[in-house]
Amino acid sequence: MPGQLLDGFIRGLLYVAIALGLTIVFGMLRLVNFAHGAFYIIGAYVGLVVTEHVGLLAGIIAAPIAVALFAIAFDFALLRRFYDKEPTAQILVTFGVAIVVEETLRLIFTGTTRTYVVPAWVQGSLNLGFTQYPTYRIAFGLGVIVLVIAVWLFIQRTNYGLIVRAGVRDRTMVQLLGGNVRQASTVIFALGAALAGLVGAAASPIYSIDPGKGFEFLVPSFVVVVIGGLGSFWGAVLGGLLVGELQSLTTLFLPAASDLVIYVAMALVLLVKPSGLFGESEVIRG
Amino acid sequence: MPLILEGVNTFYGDSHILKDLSLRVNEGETVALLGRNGVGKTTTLKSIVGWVPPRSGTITFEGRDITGQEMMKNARAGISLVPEERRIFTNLTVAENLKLAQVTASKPGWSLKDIYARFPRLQERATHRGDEISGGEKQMLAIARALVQDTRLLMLDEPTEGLAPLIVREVEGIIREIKTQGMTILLVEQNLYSALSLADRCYVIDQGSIKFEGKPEELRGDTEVLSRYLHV
Repeated sequence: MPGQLLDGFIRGLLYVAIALGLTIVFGMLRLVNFAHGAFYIIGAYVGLVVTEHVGLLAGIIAAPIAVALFAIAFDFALLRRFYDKEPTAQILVTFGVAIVVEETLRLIFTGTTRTYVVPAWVQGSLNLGFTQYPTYRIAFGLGVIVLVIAVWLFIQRTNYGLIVRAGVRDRTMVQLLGGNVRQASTVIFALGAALAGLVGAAASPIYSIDPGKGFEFLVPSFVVVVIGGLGSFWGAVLGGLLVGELQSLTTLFLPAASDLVIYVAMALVLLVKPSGLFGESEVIRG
Repeated sequence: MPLILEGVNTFYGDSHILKDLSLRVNEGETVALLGRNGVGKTTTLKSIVGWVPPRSGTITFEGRDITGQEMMKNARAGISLVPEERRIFTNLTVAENLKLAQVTASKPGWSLKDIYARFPRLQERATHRGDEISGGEKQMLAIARALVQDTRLLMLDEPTEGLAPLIVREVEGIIREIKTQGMTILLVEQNLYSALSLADRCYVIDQGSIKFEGKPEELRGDTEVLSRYLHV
């Protein structure tokens, strides 16, 4: 049972990392990005290749950089034209890119499930007093927690974060004050993508890799964002942990319902609070 | 000559809002743009800053053609618009609203110390969020946001709208003070008496074009213009 709770917590942190990118990009760009799962899976494969040739740390560094560059290219070449279009058009174009990415990866790497071996220093398990738990999972969890804090500090404490928080509320006024909203949007988009890419590389030793993993994790992450409230930072954090635990505990008691339970939770939250737990009023604010 | 508009035509979709509108604002001058609701006053300001770029005509600022230039560039060139709804960032604190304007400015204007000395209310409210302050405080903050930047043309859209009489007088006092310091100001006002007391010169606009230009005392004496275009 404690192991199952920890599993849920780790899975929750994975959702938090993916959902944070989704929710920040939605807040700043008003973009529902179905290609976000593609960022995760590109990060996973870049991580795989670099880890096999260089090492895990190099893989974890290379993945977010590669994914951020991919996201910037995607933004310049395609997405930019859809900023002002209706959400359906944005969903179609990001969904399309996600499929292209998935199928391209299937062509290159085939559909076989892959994973990579972690270095000796994170192998094995640690005694936490109440349970034995794999060292790598603990390292992964701590890493994501550090990441979440870093993103929060970036948004709350830097000048750039200030422009982002203002832009989330009123893009026009930021421009009237001389702020470069377009540049800030690109940076935020790349940052959200890098986050997904990083976590894609870091999570693969735990959850393994196949080209469909992007979508597999994207869907619960959308549920997380909806439960937490679109655009809300702490909503994504709380929602992610909630969904992770719900899935994990349901797997223990009623495995068949472990996917269903998160949608039931989403429906319940929406019934009680249609704007999600942290609603619109808490957009990207601590 | 800071600002010149010549033959400006601006549209919202198919509706023709500004029709061959021309006006000028001289260095250090306060010019009031008067008219009833919906005649194109706000659209004039939006055309100048590039919010609603004109379809034809030219806008020159400090000798440079800025017609259709994007908002960010106009702001960085020294044009500040304090919009009608004030548009304070309600999710940021008062201090953060000011900080943002400092961060996005091309060159600094007033220091924070000067701002707080002139607007002590803003200092008292520094840690309050934009949605926790009164309408008068919002207007002060909106003006202060323009002042922390290197603003050389200050455009105020209905700065006294919706404020209590006492606060209206306070805002007028601030505008008068900024004016004495040599700021070039373009003022849009529904409140005729407030505008006439502040302006060096005024334009009356109706159906998207200028119907009257002159000094406040000339407008006061022109009962026909007053009754026809301003319903006074």
